Amino acid sequence: MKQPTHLVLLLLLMLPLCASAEKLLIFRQGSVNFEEVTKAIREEIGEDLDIVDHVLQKESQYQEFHDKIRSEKPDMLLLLDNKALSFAKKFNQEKDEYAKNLKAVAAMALNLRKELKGNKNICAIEYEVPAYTLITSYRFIVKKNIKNVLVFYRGSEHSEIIKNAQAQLKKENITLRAIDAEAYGTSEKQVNFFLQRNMLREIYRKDIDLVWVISDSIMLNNNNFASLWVSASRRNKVPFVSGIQKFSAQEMQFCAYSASPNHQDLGAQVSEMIFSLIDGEEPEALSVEYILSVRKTANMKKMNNNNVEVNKDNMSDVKVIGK
Amino acid sequence: MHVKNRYCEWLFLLTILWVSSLSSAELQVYCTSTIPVNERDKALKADSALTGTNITVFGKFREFESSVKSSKPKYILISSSFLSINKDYKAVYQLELNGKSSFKYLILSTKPEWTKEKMASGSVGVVDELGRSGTKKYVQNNVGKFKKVKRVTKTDDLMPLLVLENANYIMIRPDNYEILKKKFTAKTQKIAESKTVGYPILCVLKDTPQGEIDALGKITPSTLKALGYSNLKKISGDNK
Repeated sequence: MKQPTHLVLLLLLMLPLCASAEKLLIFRQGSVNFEEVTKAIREEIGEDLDIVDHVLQKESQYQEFHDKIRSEKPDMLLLLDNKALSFAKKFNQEKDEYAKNLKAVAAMALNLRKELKGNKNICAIEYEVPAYTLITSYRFIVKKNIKNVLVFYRGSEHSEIIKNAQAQLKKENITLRAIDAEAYGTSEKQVNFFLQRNMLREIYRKDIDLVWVISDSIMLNNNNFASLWVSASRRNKVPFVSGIQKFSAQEMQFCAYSASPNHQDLGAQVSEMIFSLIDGEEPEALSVEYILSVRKTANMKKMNNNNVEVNKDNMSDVKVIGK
Repeated sequence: MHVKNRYCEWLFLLTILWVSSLSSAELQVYCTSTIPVNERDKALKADSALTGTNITVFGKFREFESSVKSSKPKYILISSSFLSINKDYKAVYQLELNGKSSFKYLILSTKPEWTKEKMASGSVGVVDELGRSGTKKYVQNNVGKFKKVKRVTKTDDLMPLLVLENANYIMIRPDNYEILKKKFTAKTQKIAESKTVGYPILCVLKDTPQGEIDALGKITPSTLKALGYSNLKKISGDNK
């Protein structure tokens, strides 16, 4: 009779051990946006998970990443930038079962759909604001209807983004006219040459209502940013819009409107994905989601220069600058 | 004379206590809406019926929930489902829209393959009104089973969630959908409706004096309009 009682007691003592929270190890950069997302995640899931936060410096190497995982032995990873993502992909290739199967959520990294093609361990939330969100939110605040949008892209890098954006915008009766800037070749020089020869001509086409600027370091670089892009945005009446907030800043006078990531809400979206992993869903099934929530900024000086009339009743959640 | 002075002192003290109890009254609000938080906050703070009440309008359910837990405000304005997870409050007023106190959520999809029959194998997007486990149960009880319930923080995020295929279905209030249609023109199909559920309710802590409850009933129609509603209906004792 005593033995079963002891067994029950032993099981009861072991319960807290069995029910201990799963451990999430975060690898991230140290800057403000990363802090904001991490804080939001802590608020969302801090009560359910044991969270360890590790900041990777510019000079951090793979060994630091590897050692941290081996010492903490987390149940899953959160990877907040491309460096952490590439380290995690490398870690998943180590020989032991733990490393091979360690799951992760990635966010605040670029080109995630391409980076994670065929990856079974990592699901993600894209950092780039989709054209659908950017353009429909712009359309809501202006009086003119938007039918045709122009975008320059690099075929080797953005083909899938463009294909998806075209299909999504079609649902809103918006045509995305996409021009491959790699038509003369893929080098920065060739891309730049193509843009110089074709940008203004394409923008001046009568039916273009808007130019969507994709942030890309080959197309927009130190050599051509002011002389080509900013200059083109000032030489015609077609507004430029972007997913980068600083492009709509007053001092830049480049884009008339931006819809950039809302980092607090991104934290909530990431947390939802982490909970899905905890619930047993596979990263492959969760795949790569679009970022949902954005911060909107309208540069009124640019809007006025572009002769764009805004609908003030629809701007209550838009940050207005340059009145 | 001495007795009169004593009486005055007591009266003064009681008045201070009464005033301080009034000034500590707090109204915390969380309702899904397409109207920005700052606009709703401004309208409530301008209402003379709420003078002396500290008002906070939350944009996220998690923030509201943790604030209610820690500060236990006297009054809350919240979706009608909230009382299923919190027993400290009683509903005293029902918000109405165009003469109706209840509605049915719409379940929408954009792709023909996501039919009513396939709901159990699809994901549904919904604005967070009850937290992680509460929302899941609420959706299941009022609509049916989905493979996955995806919570978003804002009504505005529902249409991108659907069109960008982060979810196969969305669950949305009909009046909110009418507003979103001005922003998004993508065609959707109605797959199903939820059971009938009530619009938000104004609740008070269970020991709140009747005088305070009556005062809350004087919130003006213009404030209600700014919140997205048209009327405030007293809930009778039986319905509380």
